[in-house]
Amino acid sequence: MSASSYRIEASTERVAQGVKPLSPRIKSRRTVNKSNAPWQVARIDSQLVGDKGIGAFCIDHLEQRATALFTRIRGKAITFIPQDPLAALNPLFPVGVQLRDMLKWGMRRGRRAREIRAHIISILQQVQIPSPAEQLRKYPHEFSGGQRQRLVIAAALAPAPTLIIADEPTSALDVTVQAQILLLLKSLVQERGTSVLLITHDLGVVAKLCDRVVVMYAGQEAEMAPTASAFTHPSHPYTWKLLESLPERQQGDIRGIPGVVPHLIDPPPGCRFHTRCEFAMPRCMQHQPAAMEVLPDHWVRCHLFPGEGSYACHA
Amino acid sequence: MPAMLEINGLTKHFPITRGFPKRTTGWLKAVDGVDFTVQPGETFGLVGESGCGKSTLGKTILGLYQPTAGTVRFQGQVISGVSKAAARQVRRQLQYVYQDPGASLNPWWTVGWSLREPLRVHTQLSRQEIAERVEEMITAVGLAPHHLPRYPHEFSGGQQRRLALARILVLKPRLIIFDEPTAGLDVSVQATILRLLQELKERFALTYLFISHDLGIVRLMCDRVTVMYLGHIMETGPTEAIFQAPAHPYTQALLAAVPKPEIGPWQGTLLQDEPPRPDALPSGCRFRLRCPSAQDDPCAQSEPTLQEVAQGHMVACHFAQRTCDLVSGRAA
Repeated sequence: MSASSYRIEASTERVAQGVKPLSPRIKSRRTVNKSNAPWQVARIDSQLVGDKGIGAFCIDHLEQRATALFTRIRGKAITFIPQDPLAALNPLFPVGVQLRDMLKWGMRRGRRAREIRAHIISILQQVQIPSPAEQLRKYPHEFSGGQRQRLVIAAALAPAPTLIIADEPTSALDVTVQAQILLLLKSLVQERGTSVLLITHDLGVVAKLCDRVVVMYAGQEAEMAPTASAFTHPSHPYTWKLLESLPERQQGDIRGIPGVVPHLIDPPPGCRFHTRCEFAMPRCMQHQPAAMEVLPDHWVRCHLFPGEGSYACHA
Repeated sequence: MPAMLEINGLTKHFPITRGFPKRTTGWLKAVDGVDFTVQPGETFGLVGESGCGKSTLGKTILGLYQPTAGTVRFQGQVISGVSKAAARQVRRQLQYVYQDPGASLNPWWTVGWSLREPLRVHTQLSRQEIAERVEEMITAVGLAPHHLPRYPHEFSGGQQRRLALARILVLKPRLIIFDEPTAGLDVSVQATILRLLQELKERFALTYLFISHDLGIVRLMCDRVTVMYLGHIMETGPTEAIFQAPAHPYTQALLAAVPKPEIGPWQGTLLQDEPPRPDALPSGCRFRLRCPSAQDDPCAQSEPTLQEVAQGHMVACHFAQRTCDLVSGRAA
């Protein structure tokens, strides 16, 4: 192992440590705001895919993860919608062949080719690809951006998973197509009762789609709340600032968050946000704040909240 | 005072070739007869879906593509189709910021070298003067002279945008064309960059042409907005008029599709399907196939032209006047 990959390894361990106490379990659909550290989040995702399969994706059992276990879960109980469908699809094979291969791995053995084909066609119909039977022989480059995104959504839905991890599923698309794809995804998962972990930096998408949201900063969860509560009572200073930075919410001078995200190999001591926080106190530099439940199911990791259940309005 | 930028009937068609020997089998009409004027000191927004010709338009203005027809005037002077030497003189004052500034900085050059390069190409300044100008501009974009000996990979995405800006500002341009200036940035960093752009505009008396598909940013930054669809202008007007009372069904759908950071479902009509390919446009109005209010007559028969519905607010739709009356009637 080279030195650089070792360093990344070390820092992701710290990332993982930060996440553990606040969220022992993934409940239903929820969202992580990834705050420009994609690989850390990608790693956390793989850690969420932990223990015994359905119903118990426990991050606490990291140590016990085994390749064999992952093979049973990955692509079956848990599937993934990648950010860039063109990179995810092999340019040299027709999409029908690729979907078939994914399904062969994802489904129980012994299915007949005809059944698999019928299943693929029905899934493609559900993601609203016109005349699916004829599309199977086409190559990825023959589809438009929105259609390719529909294809990878179909691939993620095909094995009937219980959890779908969607990493910025629409960030490469135009707003009109984005709206179509998000509404489609929402209706499909509601129909099937699938949970979705949506990773995004677009708070508008969160507001429209998610039940619960986790705002992450520098590898830690800053705030975890039901979406409505997060937008009406943003409690962590980072969440306030993030909402304030939205172009839709700007009034007068444009405000952002000064400074840059700290380096995760050597994160700041205490609260990781204190270097950019205008409310930073001496305590913030020394002690890492514990997670507090300030409203029902609304957790915040900030020293501004002294005790359990206390909601101080800072607006 | 002449307009900063005046574009008349600008058209850029790309040939579609096939086979050997190469035959031209059709034309892709990326930009198809576009007119607009940008006044000095203005921020002018150009929005539309991908493939609508925004970036082609930007590059044609800059002379990176030769226009098929039409003229581009910069401060009253025609700059399209002129000699390379003449174009180079103009290009100093007319600069383009690419979508990915990290890719436009040479990874093997120090930032200082990259920043001095345009001055060496375009001016006869002495070494001392070049160093002073570079230091002035790197401070202006919120970085410090001690960043100059570093390499591009040592900077974050937001800082790379600042560097790309500094590299353009050293030439003291009059007009800057931004192609998706904040694509790929976090909202918090995006806000700081937008603020910087506003400050620089005041300080150096700049004019901006903003090419973006992010309607939130366009509303925040621009004085006037033009909405493009498949190489054509669909609607143009003052920002508030476009956002408060959009008269073209495409603009309305575009605004409705933006996921607003508010709890609740999408409001308004959402478009179905994707834009048709620009090499196989429908007859009549090019938006007709996706338009919720399209009718066989006149939409399929004739292509609508831009009509003025209010002061400076032009719409290319057969039903523009009716929509406007409806909107104003509702407001009254």
